Amino acid sequence: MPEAYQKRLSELFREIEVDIGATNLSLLVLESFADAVRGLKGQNHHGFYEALIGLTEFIKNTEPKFAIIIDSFYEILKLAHDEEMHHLNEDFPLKKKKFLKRLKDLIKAERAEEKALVKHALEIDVEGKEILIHDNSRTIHRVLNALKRAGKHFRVIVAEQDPDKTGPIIEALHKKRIPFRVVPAYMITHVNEHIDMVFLSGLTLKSTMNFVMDPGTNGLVSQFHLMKKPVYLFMVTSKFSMWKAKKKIGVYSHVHRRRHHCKPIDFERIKFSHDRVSAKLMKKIVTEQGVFTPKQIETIFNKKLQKRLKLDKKFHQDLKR
Amino acid sequence: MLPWITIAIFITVFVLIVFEVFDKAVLAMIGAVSMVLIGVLDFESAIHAIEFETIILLMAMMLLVEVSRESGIFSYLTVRIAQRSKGNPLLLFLLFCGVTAFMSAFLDNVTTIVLVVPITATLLKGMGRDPKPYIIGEIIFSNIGGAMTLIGDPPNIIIGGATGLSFNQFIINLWIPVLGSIGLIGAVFVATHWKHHLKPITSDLKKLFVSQLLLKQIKYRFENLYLNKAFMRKSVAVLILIVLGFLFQSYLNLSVALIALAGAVLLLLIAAKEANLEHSLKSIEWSTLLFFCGLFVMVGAIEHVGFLDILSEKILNLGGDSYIVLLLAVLWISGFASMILDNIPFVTLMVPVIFNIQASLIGDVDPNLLWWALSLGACLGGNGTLIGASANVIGSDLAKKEGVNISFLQFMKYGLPLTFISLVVSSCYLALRVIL
Repeated sequence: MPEAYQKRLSELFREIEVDIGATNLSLLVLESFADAVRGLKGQNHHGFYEALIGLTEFIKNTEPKFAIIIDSFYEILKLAHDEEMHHLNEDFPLKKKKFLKRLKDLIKAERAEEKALVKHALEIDVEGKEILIHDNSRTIHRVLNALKRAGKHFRVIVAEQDPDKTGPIIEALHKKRIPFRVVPAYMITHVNEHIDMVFLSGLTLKSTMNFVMDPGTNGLVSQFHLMKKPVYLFMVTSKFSMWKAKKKIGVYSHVHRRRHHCKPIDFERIKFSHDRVSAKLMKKIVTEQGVFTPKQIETIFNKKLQKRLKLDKKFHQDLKR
Repeated sequence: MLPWITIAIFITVFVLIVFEVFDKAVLAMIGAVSMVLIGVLDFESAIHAIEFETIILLMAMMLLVEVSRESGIFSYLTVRIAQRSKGNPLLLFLLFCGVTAFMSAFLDNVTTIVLVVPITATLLKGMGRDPKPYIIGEIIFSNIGGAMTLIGDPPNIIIGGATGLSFNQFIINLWIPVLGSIGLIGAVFVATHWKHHLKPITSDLKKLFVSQLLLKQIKYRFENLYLNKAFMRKSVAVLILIVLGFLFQSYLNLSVALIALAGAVLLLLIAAKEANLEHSLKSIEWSTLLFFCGLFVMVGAIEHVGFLDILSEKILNLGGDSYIVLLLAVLWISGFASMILDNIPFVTLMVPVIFNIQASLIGDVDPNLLWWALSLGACLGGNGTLIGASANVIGSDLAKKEGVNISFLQFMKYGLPLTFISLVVSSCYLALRVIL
């Protein structure tokens, strides 16, 4: 059961992330958890606390790991832990309300972070520019919509990848009437001179100062970094991975057999889940806290990580007691 | 000699259809053409043998269902039901099986199964549960629900077309055994699967969380589809109009086929902008309609050579002097035959047989009970095996695509005892109808 559950959770997270992006996945996870808490019956707080620790373990070990979700569950666990330590005799229905309120606040906060990020994105000068986008990111869509609503005039070039990724980008741009062209990602060099800047998003930022991004991004970012064209990355800080990354290469590959389209030839085909892209290659990183250089973002990351590690330590000490 | 050749052709084609040696529409057409070529029927008599009312009713319903399906209304309903269950396995089972039975009474069983099986498999698999009992339950309930109305299952369409029995007559005479079977089978199913499949998950945070997440995934995926609310409203309005037309058929003095055709044409007219006529017309199962035409001609031919009189006499003899025994013989023979044979050719063959038996009935008995016995036997018997009804085959194929393998024996393990229960319920009902 634990292995099967872990596998199922990973698959489900990955499927949803591909469909609606990591930020929306995180919101969906929080809403689902709130519904689960609402529907939970016949438990005292201790039982709930233990079940939550178990669930959090599964959440922490999905492949890939979703830092933004882990971060939220950390907050919920923190509340459960406080309740376990300090208010053990309180009725569970009352605690349930507390958890639901915290979840509501977390959802609100995530939405507010996204809004704040978009606000900071408006500081970028895009007037008359042509912007390259690659990943199906709701954050990027929101940024482009906000820029369009702000009366800026710009065009978009979509670096085409798998249809399930590029299709939704085309739908979003078409819906908001943002002028765009689509060029296969491997042919982007032919339109290099038209591109003024690159807008990207990602899954997380690791302690190694690498962003985990859509496959194919590394090549694009390196190419535009060499050409000294600005690459902007949009990511809320709650997406940062608040643990020390152990693996240098943490991408997942899917090895499968494929048949030649017309000849009877079977061959091995490998697909990768993500790219790791060095933060140094970005000109600016736009977060809900502001627009930062890679160096500044490293400082912010480290401060946040230290704070988290301290809390973790305290949490584990309490648990041992 | 000619009668023997006719019977030989009929049996050969019947066996080939049963074993699916070749496309069944082509086989039925070969049989029909052979009957004309050897001179059993002339071309005009062959055309007359075709029950065009049945063919038009089938075509109109197929068109109606296809156009309505394009509007997304059925998917919308399925997603809403999934949401309503809140991931509770028992509620999920009851809601899906109940809605499947209800929808099957007014749409065809295959359409209903196509809508519910994939969503059930996704949801249950995601929740870490075995979707097999749920899917088998849905298949079984679709066949039972379909038995309640004239348009619910092809055997009833054939019987309705041949006898002129109204839509309401079907409901009035069949609701008790159908709802009785649904209730009893549902109770047996819940009692036997409570522990491992249907027990609530409300005390399990992990399972609750995953099921909520899955429900949300299903919802946003559905919301991302291109939906036209106006088209959905038009489809619902026409479907309601048609059901009302069926219910007031005797006052309107119109045939069921005409009401269905009028509804299909009306929907195509008012949804001309949204519906893709070419696509909808292509989606009509023309091969099934050809299969029906061929069958009608073949049955007409063996009726012409007097074979059906002999068959009727044999069945009549089985009953002796008791009408109850005769009804039970028709019910159980139809039930067992439908477990292993395609119930469409079987019922097509049995319609003239029942007419013959009715002509020989003596005393003050309700001759229509024979039709209800045939209908119940043919529709409910289909639940006995995986090959007993189209919904079973399609349902298991869809389940396989979702990674859920339902073998012949696994289906039979559920299907056979539950069919037995529904046939016993029907037997009691028919016997009581004679006695009371």
